[in-house]
Amino acid sequence: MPEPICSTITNNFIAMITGILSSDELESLSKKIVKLSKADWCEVGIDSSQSAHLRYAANTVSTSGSTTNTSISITAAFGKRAGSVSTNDLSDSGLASAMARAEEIAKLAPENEELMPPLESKQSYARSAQYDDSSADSSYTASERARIAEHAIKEARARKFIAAGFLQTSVRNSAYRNSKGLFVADQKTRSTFSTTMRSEDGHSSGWNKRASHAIARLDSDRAILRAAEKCAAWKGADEMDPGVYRTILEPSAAADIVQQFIWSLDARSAEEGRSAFSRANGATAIGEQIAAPKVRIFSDPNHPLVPAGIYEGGGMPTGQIDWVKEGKLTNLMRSRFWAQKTNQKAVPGPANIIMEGGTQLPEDFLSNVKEGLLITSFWYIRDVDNQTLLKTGLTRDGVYWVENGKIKHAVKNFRWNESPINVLKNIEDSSKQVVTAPRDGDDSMPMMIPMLQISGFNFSSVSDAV
Amino acid sequence: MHRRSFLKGALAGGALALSGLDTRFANASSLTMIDTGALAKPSKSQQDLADTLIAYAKTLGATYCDVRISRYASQSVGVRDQIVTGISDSDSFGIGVRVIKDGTWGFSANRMVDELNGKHSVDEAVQMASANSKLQSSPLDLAPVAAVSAEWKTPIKKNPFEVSFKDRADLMLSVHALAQGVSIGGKKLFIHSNLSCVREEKFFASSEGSKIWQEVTRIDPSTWVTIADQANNQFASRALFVLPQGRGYEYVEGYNYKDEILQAVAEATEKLTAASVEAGKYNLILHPTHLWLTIHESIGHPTELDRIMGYEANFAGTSFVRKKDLNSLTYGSDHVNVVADRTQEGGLATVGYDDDGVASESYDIIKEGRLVGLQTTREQAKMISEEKSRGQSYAQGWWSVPFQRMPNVSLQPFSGKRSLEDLIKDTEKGIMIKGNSSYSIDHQRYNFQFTGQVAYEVKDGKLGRMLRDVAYQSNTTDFWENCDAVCDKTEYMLGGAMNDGKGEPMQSNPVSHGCSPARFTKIKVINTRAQSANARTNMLDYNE
Repeated sequence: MPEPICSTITNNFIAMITGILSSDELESLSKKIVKLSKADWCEVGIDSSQSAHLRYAANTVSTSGSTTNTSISITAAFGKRAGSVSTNDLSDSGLASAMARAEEIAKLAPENEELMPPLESKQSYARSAQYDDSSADSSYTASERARIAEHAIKEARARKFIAAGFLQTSVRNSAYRNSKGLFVADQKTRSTFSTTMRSEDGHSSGWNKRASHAIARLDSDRAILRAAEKCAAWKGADEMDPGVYRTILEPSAAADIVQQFIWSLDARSAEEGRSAFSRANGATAIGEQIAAPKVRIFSDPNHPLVPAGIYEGGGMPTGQIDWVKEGKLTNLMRSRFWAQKTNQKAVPGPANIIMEGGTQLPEDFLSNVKEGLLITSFWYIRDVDNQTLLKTGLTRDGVYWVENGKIKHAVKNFRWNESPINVLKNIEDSSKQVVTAPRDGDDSMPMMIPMLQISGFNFSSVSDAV
Repeated sequence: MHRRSFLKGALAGGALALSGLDTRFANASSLTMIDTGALAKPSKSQQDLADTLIAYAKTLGATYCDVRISRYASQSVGVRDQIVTGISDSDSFGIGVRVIKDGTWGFSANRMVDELNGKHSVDEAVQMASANSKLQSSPLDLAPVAAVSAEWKTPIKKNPFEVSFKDRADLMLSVHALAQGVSIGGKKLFIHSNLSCVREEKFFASSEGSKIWQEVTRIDPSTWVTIADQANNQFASRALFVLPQGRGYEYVEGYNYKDEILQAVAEATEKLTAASVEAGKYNLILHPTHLWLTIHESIGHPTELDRIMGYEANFAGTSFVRKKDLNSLTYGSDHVNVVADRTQEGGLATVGYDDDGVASESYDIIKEGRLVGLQTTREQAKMISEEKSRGQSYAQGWWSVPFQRMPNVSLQPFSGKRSLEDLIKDTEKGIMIKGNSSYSIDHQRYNFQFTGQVAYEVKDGKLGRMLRDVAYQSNTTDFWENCDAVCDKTEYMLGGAMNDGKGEPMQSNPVSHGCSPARFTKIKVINTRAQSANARTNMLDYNE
């Protein structure tokens, strides 16, 4: 982990966008709000952001928009009683009224035995690295959004396809302060691009998605090409019987499965006996071999390719955390309250998710595959059985039968029922990890995930969807 | 929330035994729609600001402009076991400006509601529209709408925002205390509740002369219990069938928590040892507390015209319904009559006017099994040669772009007499499912899979033992064509959810779906414990 910096010397940044607060403004505003408090303690979070987007569909632009907002959230407490208020009224009267309201609620609230006092003023944070200057230049990002959309539509027309897609760029400056003197600020930019290419007869479809803190790293030309190639290759899909098949998940599909797994890693529910990671009489699966021996999944907010936020709610520092190492479960997320109650260490949530893979590039990975189903992306994933972590979902925009390292034919979509725990356990091989984004899951979470070859994946029925 | 899609993480069930639950049949006409000359709200300065910005947009060459100045308030009380874990009060105020310039949309929104920032938003929206017009294949052509000056409010009896937080917390704590009084034989009970309420105060003004003020109130309660048998490392949950409504606090005060919480604890406990279902084809009796979500996914979404036209191809998906299917597609059996209705009392999507300024209406989507109506906005009506919009434009907040969203879409009850008891008596072999749980459907709305909170065997006209691990799979039109009976209006209930996700950036839409219990024949049921590659091939199991 890089050298931590003191919380009071966070990166200084200036707002390049009209209406967004700079780090100096975040510092002074948060100070001003905390000074308004008469409570035993209080904490304030500020989010100041501008987000702009462009959508296209049916080979034409559909909607576009830009939103600028700054919101503050205040929690005030008297003893074990707390109240929380959020507002985007930053006027003096608005701030005073928000603080008074939080305190009024706190005075009337029943006692909360689980209420934790705010963090002490000395915390170590990673150095923030998720801000990219050019991605915060609103005129540049506006022109890039239009250029990329135009390119996608032109490519589609040239191939007699129909394009749809979405581009979003955002800048967000945020800060946290509490009455114990802790202050931390962070800044981020985030760009996402996804595009779908459908054949004019509606019988084939392809898709690709990119996300990065830096708009220049979206590699949109390649994304457009990949979506078009996927659509072309998916023509004439055959129906295969549902069943258990060796399966190759492209990074985005694998990212959805890994994200589903990570979100289920909660210590309290595991120790209370209501999680797939519970074991009899309050024990948990920590230390167990739950995945294939080579699997390592971790978070690191300072990773240069997937930089992430340096703090989470309550000013808690994020950090490098191993979730699975050598196939063994190593950590569960643990709130400060639950950590104190069970005399263990608090574990923040993942700032990003990185899964280590092998050495082959994803584009070369198929060459070693003897036979199996290649999956482009997943859609509509939902919990089915929390005891086994069984999920259901569908394949989307490209399923192919692979034999001897080559795509043999296109295959119709499937509904699947499978547990991410089984997927991790059944990994036979993986490519090098790459920056990717889940299709169904949370694409604001930076992720690096390899392609995965799974020995068996359960496809439950055929879907006629294209 | 993510996310992403509909009802993620919300275990809330349906609406069993809702005392005083109104139906559109009993109370079809209580909406308060007042035509007025001058609006009392919002302030004159805000009304003037909208006029100024619309005039300014015209000087910049905009052929259409609307301004929404809105406040979104939400409050929530969270309770876990006997602890109030959080009380929060949120408020967000801002302005959204939408223009058409060179036949193309532009939109800009800002929390600062004043002339300087408002004009900046107009500038930005106009510039965006102009710049993107080169990508536009044909200019936008809005269906006409009459200019109106109007006010509308959700007809609530008791404003939830005026009930003290203490009273709200006490209500949930009293429910939890009842649950904790139940003997569960050494097992461990966990109970969670959340009681939220939201209010939109929205002023809409358009360059076509409309001025509309609306106050929309919704209440969103949820409670669920989990029983853990820690010695055997097994657990089971049951969400109460209480669901969000476009109503006031009277909804939760009138809800029969007292009986249902006891039933929920008993059923969650029973689930731990219930018989695991044998996979096969079954006749399913689907209770309204469950069926509302199946209606949402398999009828509500496929009949959205933006999906049909490919506007959601990159995200929410398209539809198996094609434009040419209108007035010809057989969607279901003769028993299937479905209405789209933004005037339905208690509906989460119920409003006076949509975000295009179009008045709400009720109309048929499916009539005796045939597709006869679709959901449209002003932008879309002419795409299917209709003269006027169906009024389905909605934006999640001042910060978001209005687009086509689902109204309340409800299955109409049988016009004769048929109770749930009659339906069970008439069923020789089947399964009855109550409450919604897992739900998933493909991106063209063919293949779906659902589970419930509880399932019971139906044998020789009687309810039998509880079954667990039940999920059903079907294709939309096969499923609705196999609907062979719907109960009458005495069994009608309204389910719904606050967070139906669609669009990019994704927006949440609150929406309700009403129905009476209905029966579907020969539907594929799977056993969820027999799914997964490991269960099917005897590979290493997850906990070995």
